[in-house]
Amino acid sequence: MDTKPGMPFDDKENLEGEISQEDTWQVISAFFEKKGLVSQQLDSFNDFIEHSLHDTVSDSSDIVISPESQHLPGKQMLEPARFVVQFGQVYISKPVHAEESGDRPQLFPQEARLRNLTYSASLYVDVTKRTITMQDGVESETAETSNKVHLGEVPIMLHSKFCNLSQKSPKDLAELGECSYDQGGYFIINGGEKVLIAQERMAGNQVYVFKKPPPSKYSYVAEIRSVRERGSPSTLYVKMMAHGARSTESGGPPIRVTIPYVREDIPIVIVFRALNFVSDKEIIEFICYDLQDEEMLQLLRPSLEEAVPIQTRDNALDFIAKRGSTLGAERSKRLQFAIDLLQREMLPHMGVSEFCENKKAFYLGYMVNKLLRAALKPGTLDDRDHFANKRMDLAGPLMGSLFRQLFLKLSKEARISLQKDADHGRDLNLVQAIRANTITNGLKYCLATGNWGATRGQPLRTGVAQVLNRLTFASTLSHLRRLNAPVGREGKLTKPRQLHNTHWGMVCPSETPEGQACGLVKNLSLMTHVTVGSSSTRPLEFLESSGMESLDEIHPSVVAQPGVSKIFVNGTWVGIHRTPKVLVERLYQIRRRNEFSEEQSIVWNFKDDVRIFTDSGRCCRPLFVVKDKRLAIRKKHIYRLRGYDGAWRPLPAEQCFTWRSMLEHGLVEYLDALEEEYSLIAMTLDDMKKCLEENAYTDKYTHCEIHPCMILGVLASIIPFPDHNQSPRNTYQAAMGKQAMGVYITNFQLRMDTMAHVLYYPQKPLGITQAMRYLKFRELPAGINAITAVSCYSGYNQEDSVILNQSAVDRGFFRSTFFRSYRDQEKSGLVSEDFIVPDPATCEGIRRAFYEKLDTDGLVSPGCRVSGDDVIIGKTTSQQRPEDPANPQVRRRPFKDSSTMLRYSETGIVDQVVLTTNQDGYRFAKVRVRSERIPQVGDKFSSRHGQKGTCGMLYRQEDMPFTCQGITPDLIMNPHAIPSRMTLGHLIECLLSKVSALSGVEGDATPFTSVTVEEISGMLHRQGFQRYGNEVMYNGHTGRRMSNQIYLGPTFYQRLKHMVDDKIHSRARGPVQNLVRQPMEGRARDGGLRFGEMERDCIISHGAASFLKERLFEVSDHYRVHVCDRCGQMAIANLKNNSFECRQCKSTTDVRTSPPSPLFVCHPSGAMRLIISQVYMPYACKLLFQELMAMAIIPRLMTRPA
Amino acid sequence: MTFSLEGTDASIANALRRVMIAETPTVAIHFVRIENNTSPLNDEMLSHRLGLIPIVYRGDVRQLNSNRDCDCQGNCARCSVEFELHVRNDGEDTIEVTSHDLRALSDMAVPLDDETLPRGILICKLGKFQEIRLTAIATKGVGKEHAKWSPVSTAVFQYEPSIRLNYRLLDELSPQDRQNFVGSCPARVFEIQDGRVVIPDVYRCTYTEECMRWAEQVGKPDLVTVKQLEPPRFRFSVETTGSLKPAEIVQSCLITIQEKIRKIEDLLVTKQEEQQLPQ
Repeated sequence: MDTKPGMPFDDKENLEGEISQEDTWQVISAFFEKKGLVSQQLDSFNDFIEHSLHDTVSDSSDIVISPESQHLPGKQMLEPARFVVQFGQVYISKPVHAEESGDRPQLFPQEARLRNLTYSASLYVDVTKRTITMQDGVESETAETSNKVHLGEVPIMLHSKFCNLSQKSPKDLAELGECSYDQGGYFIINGGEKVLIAQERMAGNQVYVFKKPPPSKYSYVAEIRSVRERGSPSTLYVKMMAHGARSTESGGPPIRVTIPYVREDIPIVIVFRALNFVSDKEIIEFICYDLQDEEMLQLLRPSLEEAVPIQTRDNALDFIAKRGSTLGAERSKRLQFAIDLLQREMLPHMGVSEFCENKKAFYLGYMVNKLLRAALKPGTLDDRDHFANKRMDLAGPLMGSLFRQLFLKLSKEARISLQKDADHGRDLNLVQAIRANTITNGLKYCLATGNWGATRGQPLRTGVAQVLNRLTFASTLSHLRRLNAPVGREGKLTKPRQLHNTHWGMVCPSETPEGQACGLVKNLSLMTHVTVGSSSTRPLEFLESSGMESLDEIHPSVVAQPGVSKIFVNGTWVGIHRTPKVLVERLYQIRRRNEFSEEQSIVWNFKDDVRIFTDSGRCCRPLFVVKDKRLAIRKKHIYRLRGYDGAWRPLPAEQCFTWRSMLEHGLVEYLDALEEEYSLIAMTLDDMKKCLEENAYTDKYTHCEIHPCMILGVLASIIPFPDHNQSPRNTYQAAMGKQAMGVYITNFQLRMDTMAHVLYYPQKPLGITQAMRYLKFRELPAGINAITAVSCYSGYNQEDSVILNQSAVDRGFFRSTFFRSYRDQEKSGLVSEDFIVPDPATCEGIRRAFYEKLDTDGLVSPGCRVSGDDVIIGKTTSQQRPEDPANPQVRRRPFKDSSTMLRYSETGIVDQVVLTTNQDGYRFAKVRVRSERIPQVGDKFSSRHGQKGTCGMLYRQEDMPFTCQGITPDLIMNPHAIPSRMTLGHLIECLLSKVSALSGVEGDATPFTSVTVEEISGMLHRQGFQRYGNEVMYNGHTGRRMSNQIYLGPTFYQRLKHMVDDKIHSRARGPVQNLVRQPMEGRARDGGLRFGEMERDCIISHGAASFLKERLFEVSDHYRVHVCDRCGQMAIANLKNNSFECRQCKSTTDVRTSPPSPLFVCHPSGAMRLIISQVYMPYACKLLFQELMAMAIIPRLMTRPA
Repeated sequence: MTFSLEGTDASIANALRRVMIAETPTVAIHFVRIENNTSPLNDEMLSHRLGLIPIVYRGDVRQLNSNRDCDCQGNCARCSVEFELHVRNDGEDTIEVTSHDLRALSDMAVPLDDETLPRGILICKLGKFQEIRLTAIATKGVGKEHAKWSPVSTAVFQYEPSIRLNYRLLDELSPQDRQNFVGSCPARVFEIQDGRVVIPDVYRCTYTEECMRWAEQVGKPDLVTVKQLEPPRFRFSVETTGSLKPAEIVQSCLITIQEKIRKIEDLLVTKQEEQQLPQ
């Protein structure tokens, strides 16, 4: 039997008992077992394929075509018929690959990655064509259905329901070349892995009231972005004019409304009148509900006065229409325009059908009411950065909107094509008209480039799809859980960047980049769930059956009655309820039984607002439900979660608890950011216990945190004791953890990533956090437990550097392998390409490189040692025109060399060569080169506390300080790194790891637990070491005891990807840029080191003019020109035979008569004397002059002998 | 092995330690010719792992030529030992390749075979149909060049401490305090026997000075003093990787030091002669 914890047998009392802190980890494990770490991506994508895709197609309007009568000579006019083309059922296949041969074999991701294919499934649709013919005035109809017309290819998210990998066991995954730890959540486009980054946006259908600062015309603005469930958004503003800006007779500011497609703001009362609520009393009731509210009435008064001239509905409609786009239309048309406008474009979420005026009036009144209340009580303004007002667009909605755009485009194209068919009297060719490439390429383009949106011209969103980061496993996970707020990066506004209280538990407080994107790019916390969204029909039905009075049934004054609550569903005001408390209780019950959806949020503000949300993109998180001052979850549930009954007898599988059953039993529930506002959440289980005591702080808890450490994200969860660090250090570590080397995925041998680092002997850390279990950090760690001493020792670790133990390095400490893959393909078409060893006899442009390492097939063989500028893929391109017609004597060889060479400055051994065909059927090769990276001076290392440093020195074992046991440290860090940075977590980690290494038990470094330093040091003392981790050490050089004790113990260190070998660079001479002939830039091109402005300033201040000239001129773009002294322009010089010519002033020198010196020469004819000066100038200067000349500006160089 | 050293100072003791670690010659695999490697480990990693296996040389390592200075081309029996490794997994289960599979081509040397490691030192694991075939050449070297030639896992000395207890003050302590005093030392230097604080083994002391700190805290700073013995006495402990026996290491290390001294002596003599010549 496996080990069972604790109690041998539990009596009744115990089964009903409270759970312990350890038990919460069972709950958390159940959560991650169900959801994994990328469930938001997978759920969202599944919803797209299962619902949005079908809805988009079925909601599409039919294509109706009636042939335009055309005159076609020799053809008889056909009977005019109408065609209606309708899209029906949509089918999706499993991911397949369309081979050139026409085969469509099942495609698995690994093959897609290796062969640069797109991992996509085919979409098919049933299309019905109805032909309606008129015969003798009688319509007759024939229908014809084409089944499963190819609609396009949709990239499939890995491990989603539609992926070939879903439901596969770890063993099967391994056989398919997949890593069993990889959780999917990304796409494969042309062999590259792409993630869709969740995009943050403001929630629609919510009224926000903001105060505007003085220069604005308005003092308060209530705005709403009204969106129908499927439809385009429409924004409406209700604005209160600023005081004094335009006062009416009574002196107060009026209220105006901005309606879409209306140029001018409309006074609010006129809008009500246009909605057929004419009398002032009616209007006041819609806005104030309570006619006794004097203050509010006063504030409304100027608006009423403003609208006095317009008293009837028609006048009001006309008033609006005149300010719309109805120039020159007659009055009846104008009125109709206004009616349509109000029906369709104003507040469409309240309804776009007829007779919605009442609802809209209610909503408009509610908006004005909210505005007035904000004006009366400035504390009631809305917070733009409140997380409840945010929605995340994940893969599903993003793909959904893109697909909708593309599908519209496809049907538009289809319509044109069909219209043509019809016009020409041909049969309608449906299969040809539906161009699958529109969707295939459209989706592929957006996913490949990250530029989202199919419509051209419209400002695109960039960076939506990104290349999945595969540096280390944690960085991959973190990338899949990233959020992006598309706010201008340059903006000085700090508000949207700051951590908001409502981010608690949803967004990681530590993990955000530094610099421009700080606070705009966020990461989900571990337990955050992003809602997928469901239809609001079921909650609406429920509300109707449980005493809700719909807006059409009530009089506005009812709203003001005490105890009456407005009810909103997804922001739409649907009705009122007289006993909201009862209603909300029943809704909670339903949610806790998981009848509708666990994602629903029910918010009651304890007064007059009940809000129900079912929409997508809300962030929410699970919490323990509290009932009667106690947690709903009891010990017995934990047993069932573990798979046992109360007496430790194994339970049959169906009785075991899962995360789902926890939700169904109402033990845990999801709360979103808005619902959290009206809940009282206990932080710990201890807080819950305290509330049972007398004189407790409170006993009104509604929920309890599962564990506070779940507020952290992926990378912050790797930090031991982050609660003991200064907060920016955790942020730094979260950024650095992404650069640490480790085993980034277990199938790295089978992959051909462009760059990859793999650590030789990774170790799981001695100080672990509980969250690492779910991140698989213990299985795929990125670092080594280095025995670390905190000491200056010789000073080679000053200024954030570390001393490494050379002997440890010899034994394999922090060794790693670096893989780089090169790829190339044979193209064909106008020119044809071949993998072959280029032959100098037939090939042009052969470079000065080593071609001998190529095999006969034109590729290097595995195991071959290659270094900078060796050719690794030999390829020739056929020349289109071997003979140059302008220059027939120069024979061009038939081929051109276009081989791939190893990167300059890199060396390695060819690890693997893949030769295959790609998407287009071309031959295609990938070559992976491996090199061993042994730690050396200059390589970068870091602990898990934002304490990075480079290696400053390597000392052999005998030179290292040693303890009386003969222990030498692997790494010595400088004590000065600690005080100013206050990373106490670093020191506590070391202490804990030391205990853990001695006792052989993993140390628990989870934040927000009750572990204390005193406890750890007590354990260390018992192990026979100095309490606080200090040890007496002896100098390795002299053997003498050091006067101070040294803090020594294991600390988990990471090797970062920045290594000197990749950075070292120097150049004396080398390639220059083509245009300006200045040295190239960058190490990759063997470029020069820039002597910049500040360096220039420095040399000027030294007065070292000659040196300055050398740096800026002689070693840069030194150039000599010959200038005609007559016209001051550059002349043609032939120094070989000393002839000079100035084309500009038509003067030349004669070779025969010219004296030895080229300067001051007479033209033989005597007509023109050419005098030439030789001038040195930067090539860039010469270029400037020539460019100026091209613009008809003549710079003349007038010279004078020095 | 432990031994003590007396009548000298830290410089000699430390020289011994340093020479044992860094300048005692041993034999370790230095060249590997890989003929076939389909194992999960790449060639570099495999070679590195082979290099770290302790090789027991049956003759006197010091008599072996250094491969670099040997007058042979490549390598010969006077400067190297060859090994062969050929393992192929034709079964279904994963197998382990260990140092036992490393076969010496001469009987001068064997990979470490120790009863504490019955399965040998793991080199690599092989899956189905994977194979490793290689020859390895072990040469002589010292730990200075690469840690694989270092024969010791621990070579360290301890200064003998002199711990002076003030029994008068100790007697003033309550039994509980005395217990606390004894408990203050993490290394358990002190024990209570028949109510008296005794020191069973001074070498237990690691100079943490926790006892002195405790004494200071209770306001009796003179209760105990811990100092290094004057003149110093050292206790060495030497543990080996298995390639040499501890005694051999110490012996070899002494020879190395002797050679070094002789070299200096010789240099001094030549220098002296040079200086005397012009006269």
